[in-house]
Amino acid sequence: MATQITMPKLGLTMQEGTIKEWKKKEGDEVKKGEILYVLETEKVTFDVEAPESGILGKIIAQVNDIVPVGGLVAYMLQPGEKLSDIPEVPSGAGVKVEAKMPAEPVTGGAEKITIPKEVRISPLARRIAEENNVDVSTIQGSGPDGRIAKEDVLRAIEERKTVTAKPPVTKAPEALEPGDKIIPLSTLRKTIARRMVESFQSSPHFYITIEVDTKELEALRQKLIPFVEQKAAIRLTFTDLLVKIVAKALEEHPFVNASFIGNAIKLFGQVNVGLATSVEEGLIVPVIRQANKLSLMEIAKIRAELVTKVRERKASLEEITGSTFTITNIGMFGIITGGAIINPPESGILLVGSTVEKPVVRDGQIVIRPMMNLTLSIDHRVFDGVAGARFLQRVKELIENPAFLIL
Amino acid sequence: MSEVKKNIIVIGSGVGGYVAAIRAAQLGAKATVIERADTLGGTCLNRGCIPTKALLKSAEVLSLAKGAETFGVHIDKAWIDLPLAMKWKGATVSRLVNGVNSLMKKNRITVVKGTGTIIDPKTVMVLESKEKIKGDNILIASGSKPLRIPIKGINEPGIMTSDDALAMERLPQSILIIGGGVVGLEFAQIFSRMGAKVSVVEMMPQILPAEDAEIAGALERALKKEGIEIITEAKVTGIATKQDEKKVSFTTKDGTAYERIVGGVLVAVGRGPNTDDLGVEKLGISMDKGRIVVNERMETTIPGIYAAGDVVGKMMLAHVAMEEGKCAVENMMGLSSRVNYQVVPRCTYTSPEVAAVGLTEAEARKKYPDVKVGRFPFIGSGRALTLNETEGMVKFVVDAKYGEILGVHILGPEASELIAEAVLAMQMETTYKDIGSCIHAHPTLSEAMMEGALAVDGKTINF
Repeated sequence: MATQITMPKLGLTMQEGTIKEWKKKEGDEVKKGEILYVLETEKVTFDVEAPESGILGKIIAQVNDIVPVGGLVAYMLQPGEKLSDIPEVPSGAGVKVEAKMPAEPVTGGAEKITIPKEVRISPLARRIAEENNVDVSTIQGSGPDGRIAKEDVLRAIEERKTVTAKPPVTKAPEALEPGDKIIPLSTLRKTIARRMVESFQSSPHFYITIEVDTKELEALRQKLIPFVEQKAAIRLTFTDLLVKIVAKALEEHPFVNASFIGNAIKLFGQVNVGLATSVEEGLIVPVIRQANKLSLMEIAKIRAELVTKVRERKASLEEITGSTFTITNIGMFGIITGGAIINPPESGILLVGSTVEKPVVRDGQIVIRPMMNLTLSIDHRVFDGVAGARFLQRVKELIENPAFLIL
Repeated sequence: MSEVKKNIIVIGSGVGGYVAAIRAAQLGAKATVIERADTLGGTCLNRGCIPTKALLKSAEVLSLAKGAETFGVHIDKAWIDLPLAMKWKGATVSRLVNGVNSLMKKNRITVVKGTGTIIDPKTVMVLESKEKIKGDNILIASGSKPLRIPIKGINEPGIMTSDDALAMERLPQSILIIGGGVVGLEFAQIFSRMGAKVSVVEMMPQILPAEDAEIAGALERALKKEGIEIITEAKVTGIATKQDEKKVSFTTKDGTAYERIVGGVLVAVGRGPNTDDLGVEKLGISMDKGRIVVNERMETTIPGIYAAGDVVGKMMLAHVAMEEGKCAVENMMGLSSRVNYQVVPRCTYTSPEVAAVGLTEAEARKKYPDVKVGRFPFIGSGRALTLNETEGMVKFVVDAKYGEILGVHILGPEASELIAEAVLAMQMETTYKDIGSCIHAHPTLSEAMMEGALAVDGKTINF
């Protein structure tokens, strides 16, 4: 019986993968461990190795096909087996192979565009435009005397893909004033754009803010800094302490550590805290797994390692997916409060503002205290204001009385 | 005469500097070139491209004369007269240098002899005369110098760089060349064809490490056939000098130690930027590994000061320096220029020659999902047969999806001339099919370009 090659699950949140390239052809002999094909997920590309030696019998998923996790990708044959040993591909039997939707033509029409002879365009750009049905009359050429080059057409195709308007309306070309610049989207930027739209459109956000006094926690941090530095050569950050506290509060408030899954609410079994980290082209969320079970030292170590990896773009898919709650700290820029967009499939995100010395009243006296705002964005489908308030209250309590952490 | 729009000071009269000065003059600027060497033209004219090509010609003529019988010609005796060959080389250089001199006059460019040191973004001082020259902009085009690597014994007398080799008076009986790049290989052939026993030791797995592996491999075989010894993936560990002999030790990747006793050693491991006496550190111009950092307008980190050519070290090629120099002055003059580093030809003037533009096959396969390759060997070219130069091939690397030419690699006769067609094609973004459908004169070597393009789809005619 032929062996099925199926789409692997590379990360917790991976649902599907795109076949980018077949390294082997049908009929090729393949050794175990050789690269069969390259797959791309939202965040990484991955070389998939052959699980056993044999012959690549039949390729089911072609290049650019999107295949769900577990979906059939190809069949491998053992010596002696014939192509006829491969069963007919069952349809609708949990094996879904769908081709990527072709990009919507700008004109909305189905007929092929032909480019008039008098258009100044390079032969290569002409070919790319014709094959992708791009109306070049709207493109501003970057070559000598406005000649349209490959890059110009590719950019037009990219821009077209990002237009998600449902009815295929004719999009007016971007009017370019002198000095305007079109910046094509990086893959990361595209992912961020898609996920943020998805989050903001599908989950009703609402925001609650609490003000906390960070004096005690900062004092604790100062006490711990030399110790951690000596032990692990890492500077303990305020964020590390916050991860510890938030993880503990999440453990106690499972609805904040949850996800809306259509007809039910899924409470995550683990508390995986994501840290929104800015990189050159955007934002990546490295994940501190089971943060509620880690010591502060472990959190600091993992955080330092992950942030470096992410900034160097060396983090694995596993390290940047699967968070169940996200913290975004933009206090260092002097931001005092704001409302973050939830990182799906989570149902909450905590925005940390800057700590500001403020006059506050303590025991009837005006005293100066370091104060900080925490804003929780809530997916209202999952839980309500009161539940959110209780969670924030608990976080406040732990920040102001860090001794409770050892209870 | 129209009024002077700007005063531009150019430090260095190599191909980066003098071309920039001419372009500046064309755009209405008054240019001043400061050169510390006795002659204009920098490395390319005096110690690089031109003199090596002149000596390669001597070597080629000798080789042709020795093999003249193939063509039905008897030549009784052919031998190399090195002083005479050097004279030919010197005369070629002089003619070109004189040409640059007259170009300077024609464009009313002031030439100042001396070493330029930048005092501030508007002033360059000539070290020798203490003369201060004022300008609106400064272009640093101070070039590069041969690198020496830290090997035991490398500073002993008699160990040559390319500068020394071009001035040699006596041909060594045997020579070991450290470095199998462009410079190392061109000298290998000069020495070998003139009668020396040549060994080339290269650290990387292939000679011409930046070039397509298939082409580099074919060149290696061709050079070995001529009697040149080539050892790759080997590191020179020490050089011991004993009277007129040098004992060179090196180790290959598998750990085997070798020794060669030779009459001469040439170090050809590359070139490093030359920023001596410029005052760049004092001004605080950003540097990276000795190179001056520039943006795509060729501006350094100090406003008003630009740099171009080997001193910025993006691609140490004369034609890149020219383009960078032009780009820099055009930006000084208010135009908006960029250098397209994607389409730059690279040439090695061995016989057979190597010329390439764009991506190697390996690079292309990394970047594009579906790459096709077309090859046409010169053995199928009538013109190559009449020249008795059938070694090598034309190799097209293309993107199967849209037919984009990703790279063209040539090993063979006149490769450095043939590559221009590929450069034009890539710059204009024609597809490989356009080259395949162009009529090429018969019999010419350029037919191999057409055939190579046709070969991508298996439609080559003569092979």
